[in-house]
Amino acid sequence: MPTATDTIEALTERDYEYGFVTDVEQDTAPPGLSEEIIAFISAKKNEPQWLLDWRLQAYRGWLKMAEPTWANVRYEPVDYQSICYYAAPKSDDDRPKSLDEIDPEILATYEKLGIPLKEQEMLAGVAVDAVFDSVSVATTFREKLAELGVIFCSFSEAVQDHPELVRKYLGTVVPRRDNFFAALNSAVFSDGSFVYIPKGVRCPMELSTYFRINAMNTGQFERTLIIADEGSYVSYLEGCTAPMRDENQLHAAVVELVAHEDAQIKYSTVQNWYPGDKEGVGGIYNFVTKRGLCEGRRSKISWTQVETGSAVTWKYPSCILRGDDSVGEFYSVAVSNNRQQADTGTKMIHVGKRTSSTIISKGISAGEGQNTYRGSVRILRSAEDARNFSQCDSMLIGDRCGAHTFPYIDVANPTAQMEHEASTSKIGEDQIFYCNQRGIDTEDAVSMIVNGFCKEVFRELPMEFAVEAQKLLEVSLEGSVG
Amino acid sequence: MLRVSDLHAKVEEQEILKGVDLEVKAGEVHAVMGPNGSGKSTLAQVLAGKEDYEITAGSLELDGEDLQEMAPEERAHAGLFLAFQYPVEIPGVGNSYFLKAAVNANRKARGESELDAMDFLKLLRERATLVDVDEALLRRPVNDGFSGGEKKRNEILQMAVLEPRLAVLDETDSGLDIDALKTVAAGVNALRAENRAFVVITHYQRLLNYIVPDHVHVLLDGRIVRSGGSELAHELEEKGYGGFDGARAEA
Amino acid sequence: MTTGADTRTGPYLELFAGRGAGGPVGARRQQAIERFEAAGFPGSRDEEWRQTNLGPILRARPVPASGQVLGDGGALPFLYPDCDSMVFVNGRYAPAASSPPEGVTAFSLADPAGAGADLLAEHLGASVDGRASCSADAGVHPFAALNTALFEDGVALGIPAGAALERPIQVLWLSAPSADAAAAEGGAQASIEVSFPRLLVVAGENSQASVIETFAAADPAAGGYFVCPAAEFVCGAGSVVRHTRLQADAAGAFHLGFQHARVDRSAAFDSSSLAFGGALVRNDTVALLDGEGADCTLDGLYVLDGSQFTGNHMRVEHRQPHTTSHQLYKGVLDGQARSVFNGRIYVHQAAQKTDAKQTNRNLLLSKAALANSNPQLEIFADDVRCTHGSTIGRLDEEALFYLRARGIGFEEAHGMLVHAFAREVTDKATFEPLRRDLEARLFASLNGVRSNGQGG
Repeated sequence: MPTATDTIEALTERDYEYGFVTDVEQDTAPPGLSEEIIAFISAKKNEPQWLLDWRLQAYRGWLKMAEPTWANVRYEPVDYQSICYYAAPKSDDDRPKSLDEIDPEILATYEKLGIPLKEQEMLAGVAVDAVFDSVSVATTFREKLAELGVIFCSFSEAVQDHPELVRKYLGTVVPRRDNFFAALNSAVFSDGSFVYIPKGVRCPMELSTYFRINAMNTGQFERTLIIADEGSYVSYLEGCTAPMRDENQLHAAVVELVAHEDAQIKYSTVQNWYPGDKEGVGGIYNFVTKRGLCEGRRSKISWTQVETGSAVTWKYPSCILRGDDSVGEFYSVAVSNNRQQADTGTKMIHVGKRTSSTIISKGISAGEGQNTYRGSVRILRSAEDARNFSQCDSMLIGDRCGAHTFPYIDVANPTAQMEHEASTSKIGEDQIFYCNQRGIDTEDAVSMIVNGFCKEVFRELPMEFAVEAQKLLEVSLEGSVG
Repeated sequence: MLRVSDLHAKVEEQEILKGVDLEVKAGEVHAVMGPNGSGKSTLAQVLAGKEDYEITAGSLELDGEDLQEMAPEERAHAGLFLAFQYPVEIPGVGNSYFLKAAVNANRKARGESELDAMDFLKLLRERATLVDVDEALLRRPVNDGFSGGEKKRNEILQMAVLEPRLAVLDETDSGLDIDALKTVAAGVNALRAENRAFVVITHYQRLLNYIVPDHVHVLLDGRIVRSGGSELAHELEEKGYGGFDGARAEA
Repeated sequence: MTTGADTRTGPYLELFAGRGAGGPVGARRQQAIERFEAAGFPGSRDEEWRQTNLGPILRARPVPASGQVLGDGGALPFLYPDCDSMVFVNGRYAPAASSPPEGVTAFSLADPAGAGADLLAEHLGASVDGRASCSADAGVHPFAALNTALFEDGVALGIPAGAALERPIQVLWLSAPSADAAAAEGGAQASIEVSFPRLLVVAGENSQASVIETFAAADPAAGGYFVCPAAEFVCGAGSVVRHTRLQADAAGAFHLGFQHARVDRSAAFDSSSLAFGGALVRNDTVALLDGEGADCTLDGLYVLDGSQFTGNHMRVEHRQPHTTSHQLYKGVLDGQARSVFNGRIYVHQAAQKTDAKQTNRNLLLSKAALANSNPQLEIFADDVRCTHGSTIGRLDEEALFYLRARGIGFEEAHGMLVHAFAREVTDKATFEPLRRDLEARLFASLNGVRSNGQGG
């Protein structure tokens, strides 16, 4: 028997069916957010009714929510009515014609990272006539995956081609009203990635957004859904080390992972969005909800992230360890330089028996950067013999930056085994002088100290990513020591 | 080997060294003794090239070369080693990895071939035994989580591995109990050689029972007020530094 | 905090009234009792005490420990060879059983003379009852204050500047409660024999000394008695002071101990606290790193079974630059035993380049055992390195399985692993007779045997 409230809710949520007409011919929605705009986005994407319903329910939930203020970050308030929530991909005419039109500072960074010219053009969004090598690479890549039954496509494509999978899993890990930013994303998400690994398949290559055609313009409300069916394995790479510039200041992505029995998902992120200039002007706000559900027994989800970008980062990749013997991991390096602010960490929720989780967080603050680790480990009553190991280390470079650690531990089952370690240290003239005195020059010393500090996280990254991440860190911290 | 002449140095506008003269020959062990604030540690830091100190007058030469012209790592390459009063922690960087980087940076600078992992490990084990350092210490990050005594021993191990021409020991004895003191002293004595010199900086005479110096200097208020043989250390122990005020007036 | 009107404080105030405040530290005694009276016993809202159930102690009527003298050789089983010793029975000096050290100032507090009185006047209680207590915030440590007000006897050691003692000094605090105390338990209000052992160690500049304190009962089956000791260490510049505190009281004993160290420039204070006995035990430690380059190492081990409770409350204050502190506390808990570790590291703004490390590891051998671990860091300097780690866990099943797969029986494999866990602390003892004794006590405790006397 549905309750009265349920019925009322169902009725109110049906409004749109009669409410408004959408002009599908328009390419760009006017700024502002309303049910009309959401219907417009959904229609533009040719979405089924249930998905539109879903978006609208998220929107109605969002209207009642307040923007969270508990994070240790400060930023100018966002005017959600001034944002444009739908824009068709840019035509070539609007793009820069060549690298000459690109900010020389960004180009200098590309050079330091050793990115080939063609890729530089792609990253900078230059309109290029020639077919990239990468496109052809990507095509062969997709064929090979199709043979194994792996689905790897954009979220919009998945809605069209695999609606039953999307419908089954969407919102099951991050409910559409989970939090303010997740609800906003659920209402207006633009596009993103969809991955499905069938039973028993070990995905033979790292899946990377980089190789997904059309992935460069997923917009500011990205939605990713990865499902690993029983006994499967996938390693997914998000982002790249090159700095990404975007006109949209606010980014609120949602990532959902589902791992069934004996399945493993490894999700690696290198995030290097534009942090703003030295004064912090123009940087991106990155408010992300990432969560994985270890649904089946012995499943495993591992998050690894290297965060060097954004002006403000608000991000807590989490794991719900529901299956018995499931494993959650979180490895993170977060750098905040100049005026950057990062409030990041993880949540590990132990539900199943003998579940275990590992948290290794390395925060580096330089300039006037503020870095906060916020982690929560919850051992529910049902989680017999659960284990957690947490290690949170902070490194300060210079004396105007800050590091803050907020570990929350909540244990409802006395058989839990908990380990916690934390440290704060400062890389300073003393350490460098000490290395110098032993014959090691300053450049090598800084690199040695920073990489030593991040070692446990780097070794979790896929090999080539790790090398890039190391270099990225050096570039990000350049000039902050000595 | 080391020639310090009329050295004046200041930090933050305060003059700490007010004309230090010191000559150390190869094979010799010199002890520099003085109370807190006399400038002992400043002398050590200035020798190693710490930038916080400004040399306002005088000269510093190692084997005839002007140390002032050299960066800290170049001084290390030239064979100058400082055992720090407060050794610095470097989290995440393994002790043996650090030492290997240091050994090879020095070898490279001197035009010698770099040691491979096997050769280095052999050298490290041999020296660790020499100075009685537990192998577990080699695997831990540099000085990170080391107790006060472990840090001091680690400095001596680094010295044994880097084989400097001139080693400056800055209050390596402080906080050590007698047993640890003997171990450190044994390490230093094992490294005494004709082509190597030591400058041992200390507040107290006890360490000099185990490392017997050829020369003892008393540093007071930025000047060496008296020099002598090892008997001077005993005299100091009895009289305290107060007894040298008169000497300072003469100096 | 409760008020002075608390009726539970009354009997202790009476003890003081009966004793008076004479002697070289009379004024300090008076001040201490006033502070105690004002503060009262801690209530359940006091963060540092809420997990310690003082009920069993406070419900009993305190009577001074009897003056009973131990028979010849009664202390012998507890004394180490190659050691100077001072023996106290029920808090009073037993000169016949002692062989006090030479070359240092060592005297019974009940009988200070000449230079001794000066030492006391200068140092005794000078820091214990003041600003740096273990109580929530620099308030009064009620039991340390009681000790200052009520101690009858104790020992003061003055190590002359530059002296390096070759032999450790053992101070034995032996409890031998009279049978009457136990017999009175059936009455309207049970009485409890209480003693207030007091230790003062003043290490002169550049001196070195090792002091071993042993708390034990002449009869390990002795009924409830209450030991309320306080120890103070004043470590002069460049000194190295080693301190071992072996708590092996009778199973039914109450023990609320407090120790305080002030460590001056370039000095090192190295303390090990090993707790095996007692029903209700507190071991509160305050270390003040008060000079540049001061260093302290605080290690501890508690091995508990049955319904034993042990609380270790630490406060380490880094007040000057380049100070280092290392804490390693390990606990093995079986039965329904409970433990609390409260470790607070306080880094003052002036204490740049502080290096502080704190580790608390607990091994639970039964489902009903409970360990609490609360590391607290308060850092007001920006260039420091502070780490803390705590674990509460069970024996590593994989290691156990590994040993069994190699043919070692369950019991033996279990014992080996627990032993290995605890030995990290006992192995640090460098004085061979002590190390052997600790080893034997550890073995006995882990095998459910209550040992008496020193094992070696």
